[in-house]
Amino acid sequence: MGFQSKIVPETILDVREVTVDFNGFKALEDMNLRLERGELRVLIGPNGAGKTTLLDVITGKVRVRSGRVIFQPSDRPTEDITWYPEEKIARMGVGRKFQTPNVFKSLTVLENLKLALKGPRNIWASLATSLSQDGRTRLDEILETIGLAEKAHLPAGILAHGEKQWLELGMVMAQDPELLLIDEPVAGMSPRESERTGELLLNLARRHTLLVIDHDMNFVRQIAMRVTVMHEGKFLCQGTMQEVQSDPRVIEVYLGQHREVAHN
Amino acid sequence: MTRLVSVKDSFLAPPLALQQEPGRASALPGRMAVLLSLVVLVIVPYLMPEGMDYRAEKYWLGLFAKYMSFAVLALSVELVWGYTGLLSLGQGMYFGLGGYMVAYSLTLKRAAEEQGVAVGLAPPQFMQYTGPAPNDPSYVVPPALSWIAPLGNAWTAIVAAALVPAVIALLFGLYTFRPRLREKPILLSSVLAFVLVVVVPFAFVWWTPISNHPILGGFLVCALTLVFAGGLLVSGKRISGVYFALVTQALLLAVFYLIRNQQRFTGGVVGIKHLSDLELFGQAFNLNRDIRSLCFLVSGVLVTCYLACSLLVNSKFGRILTAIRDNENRVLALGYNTAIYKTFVFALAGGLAGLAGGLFVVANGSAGWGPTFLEIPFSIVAVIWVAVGGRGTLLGALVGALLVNFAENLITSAFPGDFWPIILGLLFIGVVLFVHRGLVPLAGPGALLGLLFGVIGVIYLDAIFGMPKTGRALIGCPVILGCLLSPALVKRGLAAVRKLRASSEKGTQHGLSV
Repeated sequence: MGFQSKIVPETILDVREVTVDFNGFKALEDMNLRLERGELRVLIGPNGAGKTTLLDVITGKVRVRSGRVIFQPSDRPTEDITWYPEEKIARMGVGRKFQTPNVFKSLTVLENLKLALKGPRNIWASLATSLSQDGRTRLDEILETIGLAEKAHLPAGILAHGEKQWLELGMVMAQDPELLLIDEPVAGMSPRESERTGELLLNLARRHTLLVIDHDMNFVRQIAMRVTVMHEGKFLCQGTMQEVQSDPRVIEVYLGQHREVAHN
Repeated sequence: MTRLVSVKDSFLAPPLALQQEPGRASALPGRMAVLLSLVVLVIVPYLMPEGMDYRAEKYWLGLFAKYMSFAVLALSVELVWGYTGLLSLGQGMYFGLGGYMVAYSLTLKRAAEEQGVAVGLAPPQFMQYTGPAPNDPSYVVPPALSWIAPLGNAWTAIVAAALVPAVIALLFGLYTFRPRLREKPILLSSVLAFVLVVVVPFAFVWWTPISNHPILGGFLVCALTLVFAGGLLVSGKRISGVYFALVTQALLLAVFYLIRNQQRFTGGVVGIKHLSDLELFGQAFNLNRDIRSLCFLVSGVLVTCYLACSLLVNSKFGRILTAIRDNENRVLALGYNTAIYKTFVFALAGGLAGLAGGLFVVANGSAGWGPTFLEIPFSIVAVIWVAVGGRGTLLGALVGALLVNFAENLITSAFPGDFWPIILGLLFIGVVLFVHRGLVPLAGPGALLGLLFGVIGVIYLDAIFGMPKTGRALIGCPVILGCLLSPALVKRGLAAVRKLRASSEKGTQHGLSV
């Protein structure tokens, strides 16, 4: 903002004037959001601000009443993905980590990652192909990164909460999407674990575009370059963490909910 | 109350899976046990007591043949419900359609044999044809006959038995699993819902011109079902869980009425009773004349289907099915088109059920074929087999189908009347409450082997002591169940002994070091 470069940064995602209506309750109202390729954006806002709904709209899980979602993959032309089916949006390169750990509990850790691994998604491929050497190496790498190498053959259902969160992050890494939507990656984690998660995300941000939702302000401070604040389904303001924290509107909406934002 | 909720969760929600044991060391003996039990299944005719009364042999092997064809149906329920988590209460429909294909074939052959003309020319008995005889010059082939005449060829009939149900299941799946894209106005869906829930059933049940009409009666319910599914789609929900179960059951009911009302095409309530033998490769499969080859036919198909299914569920495709059961949203978010996967497995299971139906007709022999298997209870019982045997394990389908049916046979022959459904209900409730993962996860991979030895043991007891039927039921059921569970007991016993030995060794070592 304010800063204008001659090289206009490329937009990867453009959410335009999106309104979502749940039987009269406007979960999102004329929401706008624009992400540039390669950035790590954090989305914050009080409970019920519509952050998760926004992710649902981008991934096609929730349908809009009005507005559009434009996605620009790096190797293909820009597309309006507003009405695309969920799986098609995912295949175009939008990955997601859900708020609560969403892993396949009766499959092993390794099988979870195998299913996520980038590759063809059709039936014939699933019947015929076996894992390539490259894929194998990649999965081993990911298992190391998320620290679950020793538990690779355990069913994911018996992992601890934090481990499930990491497994899901690992799945998103294996999927290797261009745009990664991450909903509360450190919910229920210890400070040490969440610090490690932060490092993981910063690492990911070098190759992917990330949109992260979180409540934990220490964590947000650790990772954020730019922060977007939402309130009651609307865009409130945007800027660096410092700018956002000193914005009187942000202080007002957070007062009594997240004292620490106003605190700084 | 919490207990109830947890039961409901565990039962209606995606079922809990088997915990897969890591490491190959523990998997190998299990695999050997499964292979051995498949071999036993095939050579069952040679395991009958020496010098057994021919009638007794025919009786027991006949049961084996029938129940093994039920096991093929159970495999299809297992694929759809156990692995993919789609509770289908209408698998009997595909079973039934497959059965009709083969029954047509056999009855056409019988009619041709009796009237001395080529297969497909003579009207079979169920059509109640009263015109000139087929060799009369004025004979005109009735339209109903010309429709089914191609099935006179046994191979065509077998292919049709698998293919027709598979195609119907495919269409049903395409329609039902199709994801919604746009929200539709609420007004439209509520008007639709009113018409569907109030007007159509009323017309169907009470307005006799419709309810008694042979075509309208059935077609209306078909339409009702599909539009019901459509209504759910219009109202903006994916059809899943209980709704899916209801839609499959409604379609089953629709097809049942359609078939029951079409006397001239299907034999109506009575069905098709006048059957010849299936003849393949010059070999006739007849219950009364050559029970062994009939047994080999059915067990051969069963083992082939089992192995094919196990290849399928152990591929990446199978993992995706399990993933859909565990968490469909996550699978979508990974970019898999779950609708296509569900449709594919549903069609495959439809074909498998149809094949099972065809096999059953052959195994049932002169007892004939009727619409009983298209009634609602049969499809529910098929689900119970799988629930009892174990969801998420193919072996569970085989164990469940054989166990429940042999128990049914023992108990109904001793206590006629409506005693069996009560036992079945209790068994089902017991399984849901206490071993909701099913018996195979409890007993381990040796379950089928144990079960088969149990059943054969009961046959030996019966042959040697000639027990009265009541005694046979009272002794037989516990024996079979005990044998089925014995692998688990043996395993536990061995583990206990090993533990004991380990602790005593530890003790002596400790003693020495001190």
